[in-house]
Amino acid sequence: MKTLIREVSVKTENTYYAVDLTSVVLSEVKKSGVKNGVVTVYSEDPMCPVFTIEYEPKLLSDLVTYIKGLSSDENKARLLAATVLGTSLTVPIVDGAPVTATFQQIVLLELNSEGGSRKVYLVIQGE
Amino acid sequence: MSKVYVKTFIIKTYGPNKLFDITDKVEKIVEESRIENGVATVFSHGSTGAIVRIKPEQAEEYSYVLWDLVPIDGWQHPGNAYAHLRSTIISTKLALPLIGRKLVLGPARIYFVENQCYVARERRITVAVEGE
Repeated sequence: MKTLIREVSVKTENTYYAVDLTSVVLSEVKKSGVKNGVVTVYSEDPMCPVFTIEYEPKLLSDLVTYIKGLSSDENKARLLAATVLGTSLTVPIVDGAPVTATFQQIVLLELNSEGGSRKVYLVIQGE
Repeated sequence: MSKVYVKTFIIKTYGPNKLFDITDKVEKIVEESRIENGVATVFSHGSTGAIVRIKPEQAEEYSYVLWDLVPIDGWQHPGNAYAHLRSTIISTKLALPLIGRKLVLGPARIYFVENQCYVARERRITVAVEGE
């Protein structure tokens, strides 16, 4: 079994900007040559949670509505959401690809007060 | 020398708000892996289900309070936004320590949560076991 670590840089335009990481995770897993194992996706910025969701504009907007409902103060709501959603996600790899479904994307959400360049680590383990 | 063992199984579900105990199926894969110590990651395919670990005696109550976590209406995404949001918030993955060929479960079981109004829906779940 081997372990490979990759750093990926992504850009968010503004608060609540959602980045679909699915294709970059898939391409890094393919490049790694790992056929069976797991990939852990980790956001260095604690205010950029990583999770699975269908990457669809109305649903992403619903998620933002849900987040804003966590507190009457929007800054506090975003802080809560960052920890509820969490900044790491582990997905099994089968036949050289993460097992996410067609309507299940790996998404990073910007919850800082502004967008910026964000670093994502991929830890790919397997054989 | 550490190794990895990955296997997928399918369950048939119905819903909404029904919990399906998948502990035996996860334990069977852990057994097959022959890995003594490590971690087992349980992951459900799709964006409306979820994987949870709770006490069996709280499973029924949990199925009702899910409505408090995310209400069914008031969303823009057509039809099943509530199921998607629950799936994202609760998560489709669960990692458990594996010690001496046994999962550390405590007084709990592992459940797949069917959030949607389905009958006989096939749900795919993958377990990745890593360790030595």
